[in-house]
Amino acid sequence: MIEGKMNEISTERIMTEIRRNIERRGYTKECLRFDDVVLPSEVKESTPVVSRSAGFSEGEFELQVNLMNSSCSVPINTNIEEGNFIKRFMKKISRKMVMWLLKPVVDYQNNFNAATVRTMNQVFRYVKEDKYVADEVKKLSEGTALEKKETKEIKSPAAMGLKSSEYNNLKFTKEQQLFIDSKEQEIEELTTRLIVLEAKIAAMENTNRRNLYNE
Amino acid sequence: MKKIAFVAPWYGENIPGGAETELRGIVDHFHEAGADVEVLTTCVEKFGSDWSKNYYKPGDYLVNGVKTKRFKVRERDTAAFDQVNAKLMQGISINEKEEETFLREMVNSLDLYKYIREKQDEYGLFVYIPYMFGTTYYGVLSVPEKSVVIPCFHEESYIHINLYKKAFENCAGMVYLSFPEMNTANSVFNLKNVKQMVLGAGVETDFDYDAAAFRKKFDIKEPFILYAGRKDEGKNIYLLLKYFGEYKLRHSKDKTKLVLIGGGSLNVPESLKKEVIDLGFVDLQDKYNAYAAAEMLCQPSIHESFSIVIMESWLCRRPVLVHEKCDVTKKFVVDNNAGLYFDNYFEFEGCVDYIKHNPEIAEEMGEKGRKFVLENFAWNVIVEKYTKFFSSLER
Repeated sequence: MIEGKMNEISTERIMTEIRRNIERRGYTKECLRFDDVVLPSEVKESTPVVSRSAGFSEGEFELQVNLMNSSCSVPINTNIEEGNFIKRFMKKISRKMVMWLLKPVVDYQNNFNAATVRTMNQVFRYVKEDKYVADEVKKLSEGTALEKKETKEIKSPAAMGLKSSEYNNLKFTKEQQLFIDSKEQEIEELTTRLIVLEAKIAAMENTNRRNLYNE
Repeated sequence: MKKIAFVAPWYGENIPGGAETELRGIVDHFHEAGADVEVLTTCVEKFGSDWSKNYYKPGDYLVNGVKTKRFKVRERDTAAFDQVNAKLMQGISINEKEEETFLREMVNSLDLYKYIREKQDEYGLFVYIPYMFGTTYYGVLSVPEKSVVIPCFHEESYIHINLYKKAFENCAGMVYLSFPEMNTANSVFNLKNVKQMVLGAGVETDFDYDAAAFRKKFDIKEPFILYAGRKDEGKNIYLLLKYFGEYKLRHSKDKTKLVLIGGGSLNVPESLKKEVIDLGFVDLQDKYNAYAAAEMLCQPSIHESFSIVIMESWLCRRPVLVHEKCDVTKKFVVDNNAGLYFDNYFEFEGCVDYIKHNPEIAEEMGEKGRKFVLENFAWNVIVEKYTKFFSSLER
């Protein structure tokens, strides 16, 4: 922990101390993939496997895709502020002298980065759509099962407190019959939607298999 | 001083946006100070609206007591614009023909430009904000010798559109929000014939804050890092989320939360759902109270031309944590020793720990920031600076 002194507040001095502390602990800019960094032992023991779990995390995927979108462009004309006037002037002159070489390389890199990011955006959209379809199928299946169960219960003799023979002779009122008919129609519509979605998923899976085999 | 016209693509009392809010502040405070000001704008409602649709009828309006003239917009080829804009957003270079398409097919009003040309003698100056839109580009080209631009530049693909040089290298004056913005402008354009000035942006300073009231209202007892602003990838919110997530992983016993205020939505990973408190839009007083209650405000964006939220945090006497790659915010912080900055996770962790473990220094940083804001960006100071600058340009 870095302790500060009240009468000497200087942002740059504090930052120097923070960086020195980072170096002392062996952390360098080159090892900033978090999984590579050695954790102090007390953190290792207490840290549950959370964001480092082996499973796919949609939230983490979206985070990374958004990070890619916001950081894909390589700037070429950054402000030169470090150093005294002469150093800054020399740096600006050097940069102007190699700009003819640098700009095409940066443009090429930016074009590549843009294409990569667009590809990842498409992959992300595919994952979202796939998940959406799967969620819809699950909801429909559960909804259909529930509707079927409710209708069965409504139509059962036990639900009405009747014996089977009494139930068979029962005549529903017009309203009751209309209700039963509408429920049965709903179940039919839900079943049809479920069949259509399952067919869609099967078609998508077939396309994926074909694409895999064609590579 | 003759009548001054402020020209913007849209204008209204409650429309969102940094440049929009800044313009409203300048116009309202000039008007309050007794200056003769007018707003010239289009009939489009705001940035997020359809730029071909005239939301308002053309004509004269009064917005907060200020005469506002609205002009109908030109029908645009949205598909052609979107095609070029997509390239610019991805950092792909465009040719001259595409530049012409971009400027022609964005928000434009031929009636507005005609008015500016025909009525130029009635006005001392035309002040345009921000740089990117057709209303600024074609407006400046209409009467360059009476044009002042408040560009709100920052390093992005749009600033490198070559056609902008025709307008900006020939206008009478340019007003910047910060010195890094002026450096950016001068690295892209040849502004030797343009009178330039760094004035900053006006900030409301007359308010109170109550940290305890915020904690009580939102039931937040733990220390927290505050993020105030749109939850948008352009603002680098995802980087903050990632770094905060890593911080919590490495400090499992630490109780610090991340509190977010502002619009937009964010997909918070499951592992962080209990550590991130998204309050969405809060009212103004709650916002000030939030600044005061926070350990620090974090502004991770690398594309700021000023950053009002930093100034507001300082007015509430709290330090700020900014990204090293944003020249503007880093310079404010370093020049005033009113916060810290980071360029990678370890620096982020070091800065957060430093501010949390040195509360007296954090308070002192906040005080330094507050002093800086009151001396430079209080509205009476800003209006005086603008008036002097405009007077020096008037012919």
